[in-house]
Amino acid sequence: MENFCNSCNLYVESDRSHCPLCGKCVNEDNLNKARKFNYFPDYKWHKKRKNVATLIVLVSLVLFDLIFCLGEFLFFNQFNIGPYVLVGTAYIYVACILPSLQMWSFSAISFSQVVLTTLLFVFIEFYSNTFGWAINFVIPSFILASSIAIYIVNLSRGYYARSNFYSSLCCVIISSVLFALSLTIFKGVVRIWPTLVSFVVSVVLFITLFVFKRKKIIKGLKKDFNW
Amino acid sequence: MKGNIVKIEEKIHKEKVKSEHLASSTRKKNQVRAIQQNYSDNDNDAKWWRLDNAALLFPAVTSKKVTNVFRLAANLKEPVDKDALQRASDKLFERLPALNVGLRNGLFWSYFEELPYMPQVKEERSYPMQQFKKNRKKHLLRIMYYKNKIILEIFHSIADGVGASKILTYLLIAYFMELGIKPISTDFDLNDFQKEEEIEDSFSKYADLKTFEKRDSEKAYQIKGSPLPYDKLYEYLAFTSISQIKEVAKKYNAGMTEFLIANLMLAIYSEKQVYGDKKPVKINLPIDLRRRFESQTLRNFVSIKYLKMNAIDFEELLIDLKKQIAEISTESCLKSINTNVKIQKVFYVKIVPLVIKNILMRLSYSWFAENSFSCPFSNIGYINLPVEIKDKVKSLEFTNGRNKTNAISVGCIGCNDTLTIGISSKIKEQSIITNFLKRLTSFGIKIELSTNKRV
Repeated sequence: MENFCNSCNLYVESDRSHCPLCGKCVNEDNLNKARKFNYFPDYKWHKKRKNVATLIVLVSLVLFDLIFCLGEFLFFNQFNIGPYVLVGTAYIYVACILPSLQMWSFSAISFSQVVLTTLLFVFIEFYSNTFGWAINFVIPSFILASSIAIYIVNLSRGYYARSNFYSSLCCVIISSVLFALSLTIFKGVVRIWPTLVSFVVSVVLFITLFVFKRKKIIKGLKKDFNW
Repeated sequence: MKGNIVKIEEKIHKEKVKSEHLASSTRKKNQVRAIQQNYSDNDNDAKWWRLDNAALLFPAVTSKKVTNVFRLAANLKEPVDKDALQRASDKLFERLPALNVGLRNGLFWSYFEELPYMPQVKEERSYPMQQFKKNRKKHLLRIMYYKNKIILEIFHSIADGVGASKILTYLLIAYFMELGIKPISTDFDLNDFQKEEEIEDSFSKYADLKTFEKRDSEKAYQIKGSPLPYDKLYEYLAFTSISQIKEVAKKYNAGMTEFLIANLMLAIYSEKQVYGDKKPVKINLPIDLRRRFESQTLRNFVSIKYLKMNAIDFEELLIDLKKQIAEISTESCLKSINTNVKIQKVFYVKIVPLVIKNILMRLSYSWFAENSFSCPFSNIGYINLPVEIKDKVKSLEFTNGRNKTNAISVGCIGCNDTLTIGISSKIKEQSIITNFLKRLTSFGIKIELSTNKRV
């Protein structure tokens, strides 16, 4: 160990260019060298494994889509179920596989799932002309479940995660838009009570969350928006 | 000429041994696979061992947040020979079958069951101290290598720090024997059978169940910071000279442990002041009971004591710590053993099914144990390696694993005038570590830092 950090008074591994504690430059020669870490663990190996797994999943999903759509088009001369399969696999990849491979936080997963499930059901409803059931029940129950889950996760954790706050805010926005739509455009077509319940619950939980964690939330918002 | 012939003969012999071992290792792997596939649930012939008193808790509270794994490593002067290490490990676990075990759940208690295959030596490729997943077919220890380093990661149910340091010493002896260096100055013989004293439950043996201790349940300050993902852990290794630290500690009329703990406490205290927390700084100090009770067990035999920070001035703090450590007597240790063993021996506790016991143990651990200290400090002590292999080993390392509430764990181990302070951290912030090491260097102690953290 030849490198010496003057600010920490420590000797640092010879292949390092910066002190691991204070971050100051300890060896300018190492800056230009290709970074070769002789300590464990092997980060490259981990990264490579992750990338390979993501690629395999993506390629297999695309292949599945291609085979299904081509099969439907060539053998049955139609393209009815194909779009559902395409949208469904995209949903599975973005909302389920990608979060697990990238190890997203619980709130980020629930946030993405609420948004994507809403979009998925809206697509299915408008594409298939079976209007009503998803907006009536499925989307409100998703919002309800995810806002309760986010609330529990938020209060059970000792630290503040920004994604928790934003995902619960997202629940409030979606439920309020849905509630407003069901009162105006969809008036008489859809049932109001499920959207009303999801709206009330998500708003109440959001307010209580804000009351309990207001300091952390304000601090986080200040950080995010550079106030 | 003669010398050349001898060298050529040695080369031929080495190549022969290598090729034989390669063939045998592939054979072994196939055997292991075959055995794993045919490993039946009702294997009544397999040997089994009871868990000791302390070991009973760890399977219940283990999760990805609390791995209960710790790590010992030996830095050699030459690169590690993987095949020799595999042969050494095979011989060691043939000698100590009680360590070649998997964890199984019984109806009332967990127990160890001997596995019909040996642990495989692997190159280290991941973050240190990953969780041992609950699988009865898998070993509860890992033997790895990385360049010059032999690594032993061990689940706490198998052994405590001192026990594991003995296992590592035995592994080093077996490894160097494979390389042709036969250590004479040691009592350990690989050809012996496993002794009862080596695997005994010393807690039950020495507990007299007469006097009991009142638990210290006062909550302590918890180090704060942004947590790393569960599978990541930063390991900081500070290499210093034992004689230098002893010299400095002597100036303050203190021992090495007190000196290090005082500096650690002050580093944590300076962080505590920023947050304005009123809870006291407390250090968890495991006391090795082997010397006090003349036990030779490799399994757990420690008593946990909490040291409280009662002064802010360095010299006053040292005096207070000396007083607190001097109060730790054999009787007080016996009291804490009795308190733990008593619960295990109560009839109503015995008949509760393991599933319910696990829930109760998890709850009591999180209520009483987790928040009652700020940081664990495990001093393994000085490891006396046999003279023949002492020169081949540069230093030893010891680090504690991930804990749920304690963000930082500190451990130290000494060998060949090198004291290694191993700090594991599950948070991104490193102000306490910087502060602690800066405090040590301010006394003129030379420290070399090695870490797995990227800048």
